[in-house]
Amino acid sequence: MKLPESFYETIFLFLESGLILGSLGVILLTNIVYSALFLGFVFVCISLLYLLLNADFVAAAQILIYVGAVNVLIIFAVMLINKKQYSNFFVYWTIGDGITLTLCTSIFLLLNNFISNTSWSKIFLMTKPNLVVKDIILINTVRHIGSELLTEFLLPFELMSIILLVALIGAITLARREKKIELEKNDFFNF
Amino acid sequence: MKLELDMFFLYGSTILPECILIFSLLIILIIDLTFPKKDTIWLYFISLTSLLISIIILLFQYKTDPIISFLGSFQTDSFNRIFQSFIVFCSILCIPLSIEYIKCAKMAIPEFLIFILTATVGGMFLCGANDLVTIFVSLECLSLCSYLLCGYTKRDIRSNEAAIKYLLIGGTSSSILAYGFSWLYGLSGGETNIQKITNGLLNAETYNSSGTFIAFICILVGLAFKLSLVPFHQWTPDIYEGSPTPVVAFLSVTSKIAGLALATRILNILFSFSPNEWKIFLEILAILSMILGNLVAITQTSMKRMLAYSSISQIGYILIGLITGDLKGYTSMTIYVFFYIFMNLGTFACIILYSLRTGTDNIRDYAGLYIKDPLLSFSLTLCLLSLGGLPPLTGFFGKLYLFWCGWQSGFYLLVFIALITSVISLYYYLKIIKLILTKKNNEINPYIQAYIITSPTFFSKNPIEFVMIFCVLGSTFLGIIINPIFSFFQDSLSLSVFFIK
Repeated sequence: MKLPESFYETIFLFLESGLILGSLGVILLTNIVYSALFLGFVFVCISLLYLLLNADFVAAAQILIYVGAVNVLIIFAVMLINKKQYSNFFVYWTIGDGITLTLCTSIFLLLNNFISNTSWSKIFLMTKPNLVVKDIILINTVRHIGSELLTEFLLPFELMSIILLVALIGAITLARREKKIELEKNDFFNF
Repeated sequence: MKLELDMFFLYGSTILPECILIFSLLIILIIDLTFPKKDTIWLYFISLTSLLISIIILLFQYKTDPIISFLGSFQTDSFNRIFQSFIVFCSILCIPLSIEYIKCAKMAIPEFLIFILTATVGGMFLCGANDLVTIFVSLECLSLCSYLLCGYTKRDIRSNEAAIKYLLIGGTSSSILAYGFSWLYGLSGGETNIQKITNGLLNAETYNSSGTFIAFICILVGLAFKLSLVPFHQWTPDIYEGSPTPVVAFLSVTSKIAGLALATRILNILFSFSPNEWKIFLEILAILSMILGNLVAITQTSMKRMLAYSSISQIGYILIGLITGDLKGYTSMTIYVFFYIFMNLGTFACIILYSLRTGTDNIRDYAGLYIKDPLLSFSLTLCLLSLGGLPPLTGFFGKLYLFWCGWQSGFYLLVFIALITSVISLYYYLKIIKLILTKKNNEINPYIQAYIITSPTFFSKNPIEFVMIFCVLGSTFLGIIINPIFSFFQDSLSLSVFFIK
């Protein structure tokens, strides 16, 4: 589907403003439940951003994992904790926060400068001169990702299964109720 | 698209040692699930056998030409083989160390073995990982098991704290590393394979740009977190103090070896176009680590914290070999890592034994240990002196080669600081030794009073003592035969990918 460039730009602006406002809401709101809900909003905005960039698989994964699993878990945890609300955000402002703010802002500006100075399209043209842009858009991404996972990225893909197995075992180990132990005096005298 | 299955059978032999470990951890899992009555001896037997088989396979394949398998995700050469066998060797030594500790802490054994084996597999894959995705996944495999192992004693609040700290710091450093990788991916025009990235950067003429510099800084910071170099070291003492001691012994060697192998590969292959640039940064980090690690170690009162700072300084020494960058430098780095396994694990074996018998880690509680247990105090003395680098012991020869290579390549400042700091390190090692050996008749401290004398016969020793004696022998006498070891490693390393052009 071919749409005018200005249409994409408008949607992009909306998404970006949603992202920034949502992230500000996550940090600035005093009620932690609202913060958690705003976090979900930010995740949805990010997935829409992926969709705008033609990355449909990543967008779906983002919604499934972050909104569907992570955020729901966070909200559950928040509801179970039931902590008292902070009265004012700026009460806890210290010199350390100021230093961190300046550092983060300068790193942000620096990175911004570097990113905008790099000519990404030129890199693409120089490294892959034969590829036509139209072909890339028409590739079925899900099929492409699947075939790449089982050919080029076979080893990390299989290693991921080991990681998942260990994560499962680890989660069970951490959550399992242990038998109460009685410290026997013999334990120390055995060796 | 046709999947070329015969290719995978062909490449299977390159990851055979890892496959054996994965197979054995699955067996342990199944045994744990099916048999309600736990026979723990079998579990130890299975894990140790698989580790032994895989190290034997690695030893037989030492001198291989570089092979790239799995369509570029994995590379096997003699350098990887050596470091992989080091990791397996550490696991073989660490499993006997943890048997008694787990029994005393009443922890579950099968899960512990599974985590140790998976961490070993992750470290081994990390040594040979050849594309950014594999590097990241295997690094996470190693890290995830480390977090779980750190928090393994659930009832101990310090262990929980250590696990959470490690998780947060590890997550942060991994994300910084991943950010650096994403810059490289973009700048090289969408490549993940590290050789192709270098080609891509050269083709797109971006190897000199500021973007590559950002990528380099991010990757260096991520690696420095993993290797716990100063100024990215703050997590190390806390985690060493809180975690169960056998786990610390395992992590202090395994994660260092794997991280070192990764750093060597990334810096040499990815950033091969600007060797002088990364050498300067690494030099600064190494100097800071040596100075700060040794100075702060003097003031520590806990044995584990002291060893944490000492390990920070040791990694500074090891980096000299990496900075030197020629065949001799790499050989001396490999040799020092090999010796470091013996020295460090020997020290940890002594500490585990002592803390199991008395329940304390404080340095001052070691006072007068010599009266009660001469064997333990003698072993601890030898290991500490070897770590410090006193002449007839192994550590001295390892340091000698490192410093000599650095001096020959013209890193005078680095070697000078390394010399001064190793003298400082001798001070705090000797302080502990003096405490152990001196005898104050009037006031024997309560921990030593409660210390149980072991049976003097050789056959009733427990596994920790076997490992301890083995490591002490290694860290005392290996230095005498350093010349054949040096030529052996030099021969194998000369076949590695860094020196075959």
